[in-house]
Amino acid sequence: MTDKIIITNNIRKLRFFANEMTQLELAERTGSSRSTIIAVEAGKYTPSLELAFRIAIVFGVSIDEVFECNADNTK
Amino acid sequence: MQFKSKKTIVGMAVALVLFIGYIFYALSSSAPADGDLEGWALLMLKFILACVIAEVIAQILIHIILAASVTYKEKDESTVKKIIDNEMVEDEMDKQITLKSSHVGYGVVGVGFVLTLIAIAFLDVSAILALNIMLGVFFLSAMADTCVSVYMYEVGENWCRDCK
Repeated sequence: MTDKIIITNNIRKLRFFANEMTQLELAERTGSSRSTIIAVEAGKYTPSLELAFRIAIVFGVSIDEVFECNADNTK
Repeated sequence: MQFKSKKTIVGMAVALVLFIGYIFYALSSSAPADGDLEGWALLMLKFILACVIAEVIAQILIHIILAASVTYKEKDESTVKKIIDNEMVEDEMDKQITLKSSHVGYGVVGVGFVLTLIAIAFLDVSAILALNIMLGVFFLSAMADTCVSVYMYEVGENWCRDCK
């Protein structure tokens, strides 16, 4: 069985450094809804690659600075 | 709780109230006679029409309440417009949740249909009772669809990420 992948994100931190950008503003700039941004930030929803790139573009960073992936080898 | 969850819950509550009303009516003396298949079909059509109308009214009301609550919280008109517009956006997460919840709903309908057929074939259930069971199955399917949808909005798809 393949290892479980845990994806975490730094959106909250990046919003803070982007002059405390609101979730609504990020949602507008990525073409998604605020509820999606809330869910992504809270780790409740894993976004598509397209949305992940859009978020990275808004912050002007690479995608791996927004999302981090850890393989869970405990199983 | 998110607006989309609230909208879904209101829709479910309206359908639940109407379905309970239908059950009471169906069990009352004013319901069509046992052998009156046409009468039952008409009753069900009226019920479906009432559900559609009630659902539309409920959705209009909840949108008005959303607009009022956002206006109350935010004084800036452009922010109010932005928030309301953003709540109406249907993005990838909404589509994914709709897909997953309808999948569960179709599953419930499928199982219910087979069970109804089994009931007709082996339990000697009348056509009218079978029709009512199917209506109940459609209702259950809508409820399952709604529950999954609300669950996905509130708890998210990664609810088990820390499960060992």
